[in-house]
Amino acid sequence: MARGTKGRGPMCTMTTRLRVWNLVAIASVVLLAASASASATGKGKGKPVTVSKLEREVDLTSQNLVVASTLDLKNSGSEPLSYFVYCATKIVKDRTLLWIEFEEGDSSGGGDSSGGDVEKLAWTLGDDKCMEVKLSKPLAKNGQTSVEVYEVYSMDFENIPGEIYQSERQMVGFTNFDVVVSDPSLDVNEQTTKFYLPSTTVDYFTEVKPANKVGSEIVYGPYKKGSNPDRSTVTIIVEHPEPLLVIEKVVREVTVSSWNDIEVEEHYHIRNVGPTFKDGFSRVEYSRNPKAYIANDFSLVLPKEAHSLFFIDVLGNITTSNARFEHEKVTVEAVPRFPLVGGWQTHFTFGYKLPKYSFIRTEPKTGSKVLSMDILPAVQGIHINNLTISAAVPEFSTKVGGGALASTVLFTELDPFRLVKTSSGVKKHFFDLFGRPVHTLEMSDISPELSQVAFEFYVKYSFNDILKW
Amino acid sequence: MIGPIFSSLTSISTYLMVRQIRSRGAGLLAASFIATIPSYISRSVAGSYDNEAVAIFALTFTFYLYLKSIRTGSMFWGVCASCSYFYMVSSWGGYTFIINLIPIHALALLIIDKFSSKLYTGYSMFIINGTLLAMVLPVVGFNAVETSEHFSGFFVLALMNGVALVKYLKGTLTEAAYKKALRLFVTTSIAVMGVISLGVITFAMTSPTLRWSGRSLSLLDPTYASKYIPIIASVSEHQAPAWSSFINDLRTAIILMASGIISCFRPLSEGSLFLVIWGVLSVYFSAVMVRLMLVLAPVACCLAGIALSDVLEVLCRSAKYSSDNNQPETQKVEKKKKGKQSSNRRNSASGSKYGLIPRSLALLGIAGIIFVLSYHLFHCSFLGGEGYSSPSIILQSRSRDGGTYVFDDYREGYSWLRENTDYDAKVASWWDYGYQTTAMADRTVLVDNNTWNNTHIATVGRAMASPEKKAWDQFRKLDVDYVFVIFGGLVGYSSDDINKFLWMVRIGGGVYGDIKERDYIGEGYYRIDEKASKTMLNTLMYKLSYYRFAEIVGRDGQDRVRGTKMGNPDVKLTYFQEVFTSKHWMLRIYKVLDKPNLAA
Repeated sequence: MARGTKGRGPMCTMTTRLRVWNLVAIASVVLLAASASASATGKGKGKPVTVSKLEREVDLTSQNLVVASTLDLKNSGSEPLSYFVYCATKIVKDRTLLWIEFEEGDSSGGGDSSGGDVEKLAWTLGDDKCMEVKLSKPLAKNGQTSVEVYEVYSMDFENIPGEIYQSERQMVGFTNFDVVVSDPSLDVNEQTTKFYLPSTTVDYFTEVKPANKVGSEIVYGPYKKGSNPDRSTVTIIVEHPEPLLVIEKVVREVTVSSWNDIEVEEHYHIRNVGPTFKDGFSRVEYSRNPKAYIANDFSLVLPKEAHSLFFIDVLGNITTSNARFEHEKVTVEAVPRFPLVGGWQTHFTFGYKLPKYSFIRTEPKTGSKVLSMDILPAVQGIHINNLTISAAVPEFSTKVGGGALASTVLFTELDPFRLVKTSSGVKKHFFDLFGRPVHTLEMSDISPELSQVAFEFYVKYSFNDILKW
Repeated sequence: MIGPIFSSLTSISTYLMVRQIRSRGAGLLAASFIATIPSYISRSVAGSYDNEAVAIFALTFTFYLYLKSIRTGSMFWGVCASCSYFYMVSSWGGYTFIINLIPIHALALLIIDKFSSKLYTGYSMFIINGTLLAMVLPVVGFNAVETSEHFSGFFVLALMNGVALVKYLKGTLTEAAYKKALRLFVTTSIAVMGVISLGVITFAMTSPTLRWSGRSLSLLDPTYASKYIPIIASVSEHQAPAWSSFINDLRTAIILMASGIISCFRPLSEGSLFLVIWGVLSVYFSAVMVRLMLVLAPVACCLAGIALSDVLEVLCRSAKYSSDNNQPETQKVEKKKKGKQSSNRRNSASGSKYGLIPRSLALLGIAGIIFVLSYHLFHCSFLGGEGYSSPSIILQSRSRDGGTYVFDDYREGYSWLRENTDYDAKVASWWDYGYQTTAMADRTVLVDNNTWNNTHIATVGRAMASPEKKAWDQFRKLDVDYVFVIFGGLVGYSSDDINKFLWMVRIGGGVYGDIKERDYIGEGYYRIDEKASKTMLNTLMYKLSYYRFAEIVGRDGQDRVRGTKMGNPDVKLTYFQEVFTSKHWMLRIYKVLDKPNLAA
């Protein structure tokens, strides 16, 4: 995963955008070809790949379940190994896979993938939702390599208990997680699972010997092959100091004007899914001891070109917010009308304008225009259950089409892990005669971690500039 | 947008009226006054809507058309006036002001012996058509002929017919016969009218529905409402205004109004008599009820326009013609006088030789007037911008470094109700917040701002004034889920529910016998400090307002509105549960529990 793209510079923005655009064109072709070939040659039902060492790091501190695994692969077979099968949904059960990425590092580097010779691996999806990962070069007999798998799953914390007093801590339960990987396609010799917890206050964790808690970390393992522990699913009950927020629905409406601006309006429905208060919300308690798990503001990040910001709801302007116009981005601290405690929800609309020139480009060959924008909304770091992004292009535009600009099968309409739907319609705006063509993309289950991948929505359209009136 | 459109129409109709009564200059000045007067700006700000913005236009336009009809004697204008009156009736309940003011004016004209066939035509056209049109409206209906508020018009109409008959007889009969006939006529008509009006008055007074309405009666007797109808007296717009609000809302107009009345008497025409009567009556009415400041505003502007135009006329004439040498100057004035007379403009001062003052003094006076007017304009635009353009539910204060600090608690609370309560939840609060809650929180309310029937308002008043257990029983019976109170004690917001509590007790007590005002008074006042009565400290309102307040300000802490300590800092709630309190504690929402929380 391309970490560090978060703070990209102004020049970089353009280049990444263009690069991603090209990449997608290539990737989609490659993907189609690859899937065709995979189905043609039949599934790799061969014997399991030997994993000499599996190290997993499970991050419970963020809004989603992030699992980073290092697999030390060893070719114990007689023929060169060109691919292996990885079944993410079998290893982590009952959770929705939001993102997966494979990287092959230098085997001599000892699994540390931060070196320069790290390569992203292409993968294809089988019928059983398992990934067939193609290694960068076939592994010779007894050869070794190390593959890093970066996975993001939906989080399913349980509030334990479901009702608390305002003076109490917010405890969450994390259950039903296998610390021993038993996947028929992987032959694991030794494995360790390490949990990063949101706090050091742990009420309970399942003992699967050897298990160790140090500060806010719990290490399960190492488990050797054959030393089958009597149970492998664990439960951890830990204090979570952060608000457990979920964006139930966000609708992003992008309107490309015939003139110079792109208007963006984002309609949010945010809910705090944390434990509810037994005796109501008390302002005295809140002023005396403002718990961090009560959400008091949302941080929004907008492109640096953003201007004319507004923050409203059905009752009008929300007077409490703060915007900082920085060099590379605009950050907004938006305070909702009331602090969000467990069980409460809020609706609001955030809007801004962007200049056209940095988001729309004209394809020199066909003369058609391409609008490309981030799919993710401005509110950062919150899991999104449903996202709708629609772009209304100027009236009288023709040949309108578009979708998500993704480098893998994820987030395209072929994605088996979530609903992705594109549709088109017409939207009437001020003084329109027939309405503007609208292209809409709907998606479910999107993780905030994806802000780190270049992940864009594009709409292609043809528009005769003579009609610009 | 309706406010600004109608306020511009108002200033046009004011100009037409004053131009007709006096002169073009006076009309322009009056129109510019009404365009800037804060009292009317407060009702016609863009972005808000108040039917009074429409009503004041209808009022001035009706008067203009009526004056035109009695000046020209044209039936057409009379019918126009009644149509405009119809518009007024459909827009505002204050139409009774018109239907009483016009007969009073006509009566005054009869008394000063200015009866003419033109007056007769215009007046009878207006009264008859206007009444018929008003009866079309369902809200008014037969009230237009049955209630005593409308009787004066018919009475004057009858009187006018009598006078007309007398005048006719005077023309036809000889001197002696006329005197006899007059005596006979006057005695019989007085007797008949006396009997009829006595009968009508006793009938109207005894029947409960046809009496003068409470609001009108409280105008005639300012103490009436506080004695009998607390719900009318409780509305802050129905209180007597403070002196400062006259100056604040009318500014220069109220000062110039007095001289305007004087200048209306030289010469006294039917139009200027009308302005005098209107002015005097509305000064009285607005002194009784602050809301009727709105009726005073247009006439104050008209009179101020007339006064100022007279003054300016003298000053300008002096500046032009006055010089150290008196001889040629008189000749010029002589010439001017002739010119003026031929142009048939009714201008009191224009023809007079008097009133010329030295030129330097005149210039000084003009400069002074320009200064006063620009100061007036500055004040009005400041007040319009600062005082009347901001919504009343969002409060602002200025911080020391010049920034504004916003108290947005109302919307915070309403937004919370909208987001985090059941859609079917029923909310009880004092009736002032009824429509707000319905519109902004989108929840069913127990009482709203409708005052056709005040029993339901009394029910909430009674519950708020009851001890917690009794209030809980009442709210449970009414199926209420949430109760909220407005509390200003933390930030010093003075129009909160504790300050309105007097009216809850009075309105509640007016309907239900178990609430007695004297129980809530401690040492002569409504108070919440140590000297407050026991009943007061036990009321639901007190408890909901001060629940856990002592934990913020301390047991000896002060309530910033009342400036006193709390009578009982340790408030315990058993039947209600605090669910939300806004940032500055202005809106406190409580849940009505299903069963008492005895553990607490």
